[in-house]
Amino acid sequence: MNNVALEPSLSPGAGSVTQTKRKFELLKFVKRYPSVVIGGLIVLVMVIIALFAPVIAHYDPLKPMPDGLTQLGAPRPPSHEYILGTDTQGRDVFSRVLFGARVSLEVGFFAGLISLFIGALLGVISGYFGGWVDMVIMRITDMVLAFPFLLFVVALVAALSPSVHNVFIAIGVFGWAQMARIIRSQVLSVKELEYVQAAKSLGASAWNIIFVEVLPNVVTPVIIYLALAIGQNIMLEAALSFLGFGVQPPNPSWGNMIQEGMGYYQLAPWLIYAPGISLLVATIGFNLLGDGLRDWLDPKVGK
Amino acid sequence: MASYIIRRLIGAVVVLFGISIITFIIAYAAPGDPARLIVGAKAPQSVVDAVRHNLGLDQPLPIQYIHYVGRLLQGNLGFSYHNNLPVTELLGQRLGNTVQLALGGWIVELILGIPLGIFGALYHRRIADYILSFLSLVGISMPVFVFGMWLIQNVAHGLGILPLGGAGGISHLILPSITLGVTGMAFYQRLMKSSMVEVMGQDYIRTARAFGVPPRRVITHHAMRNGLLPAVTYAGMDIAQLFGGVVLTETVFNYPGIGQLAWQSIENLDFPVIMATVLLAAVFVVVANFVVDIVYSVIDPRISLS
Repeated sequence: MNNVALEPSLSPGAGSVTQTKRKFELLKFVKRYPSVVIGGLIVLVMVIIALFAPVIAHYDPLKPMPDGLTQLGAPRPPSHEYILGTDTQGRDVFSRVLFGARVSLEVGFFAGLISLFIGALLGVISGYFGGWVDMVIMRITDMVLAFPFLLFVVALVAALSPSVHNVFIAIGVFGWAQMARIIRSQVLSVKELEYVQAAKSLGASAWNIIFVEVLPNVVTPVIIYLALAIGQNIMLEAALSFLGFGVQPPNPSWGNMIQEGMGYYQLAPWLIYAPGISLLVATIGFNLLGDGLRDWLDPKVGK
Repeated sequence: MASYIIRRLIGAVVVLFGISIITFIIAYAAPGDPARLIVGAKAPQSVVDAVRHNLGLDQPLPIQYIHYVGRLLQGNLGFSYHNNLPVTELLGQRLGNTVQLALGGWIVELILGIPLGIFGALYHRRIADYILSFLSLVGISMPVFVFGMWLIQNVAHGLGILPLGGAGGISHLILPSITLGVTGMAFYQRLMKSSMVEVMGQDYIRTARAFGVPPRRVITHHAMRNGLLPAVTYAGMDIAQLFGGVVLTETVFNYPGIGQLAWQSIENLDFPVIMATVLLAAVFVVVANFVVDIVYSVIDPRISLS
């Protein structure tokens, strides 16, 4: 209420005082953690694009446009009609980029969830029970970390037959090792804390302690890691599709669009730049968000 | 020390076994009949069966695996029917190329990443640091194949000074090495910066400064020795991974190395080659892991091996 008395001309009602205060705090947050805000905005825009791709896109991403090619049969450069030009089959590149965002997010997110699930399960068991269980799980983790990751994922996708589902399964199945390590170390540091010991002495079961006392403490590093992992997975999906083992044409993915455009880089550079820059911006977004969240939420990294 | 080395060696062997088993299972689960692939689509079924029998592909999986490991131990990596060559010969033809490219990329990473990291630490939280951090973020987020294509279009084609792809001499190495180096240097930059920031804040650096050691000498003689350690560890692992083949860069530049071979063999379901390339890559990583641990304890006497 003091504030009202101090600046009556600026704020006629109490409601707007809290509003300015809130605005001020938001500004402070933006200034202090710009990467969370910028990364978060990029991710948000990408999510919106992915969800509303059919609404935003003016054209069918799979259908060649009747006027999509020039009279010589070449792709049309970016114009008012086709914002990002058309591809070699006369399809609208902008619509394909929008639908590509869908695939990227889908793979990034679900692969991240699979790694999270496997990593959390093994990390918690390893950290909580210790002993030989810990040793075996950690040796397996070391082994997975020694894998030539991209080769394994490509080989597994090829063995399972290339499709969006198999791409995120393959990435998820080989991508959990880092997660398991992070969660294990977190569990190790939490399990000796007094309140966990107290729960134990009160006779709580191991799984009860894990779910109620230990897991909530693991949430912060998991969120940070998940943001970074989704970014990496998006890049991996693009790499797989680029190599021909991911999303299969005619369905658009940023990776296979770049691959299709590779032979035409002189004639139609937008075929590479449109999906390439989208991929770059998306990855930057998730990396910024992950790094920023770490600065914000992880007290161990001094500010 | 000796017992530590022996334990690590056993661990390394176990890891390699595990990798061979997983590769084997993936190869087994893959669609397509290797015997049919060898004789071609038109051959009669009896020929296919005969080939399958000859190769031992009609035996149970564990037996096949044991035979496979037995051959591996004799240095026999199998035969690529697709290329009509023994796998060892195929790898031999390409390993040299990959090693050259890997070294090229590695050197670019180190030349860019380490000085930029030190620079970032010296200008910590100043405008130069923010600009560098942003550039390294872009580097980390940059897909290799996008950057490689950009170089091909703008440098090789636009300026017309360097070859578009393929192998043969230094000029063919420049663009792929820059591709690897620029996308890979960011990690060194971050690692080096955070470790230098930490080291520069320590007491012994303050003492050195207080004693009037010139600032440049504080960095080169006092801070860098400790600040380099994490980068050294990472550099060892990194070169090992590069030796295992750089699939994307080799594909973009049509560079005949191990990575391209691996990709082509997966595309052709040429399993002896797939298994050999995966195993080779894993061997590099496991050996590097081992060597880095040992070297680390020699550089840094504070680490005791036990």
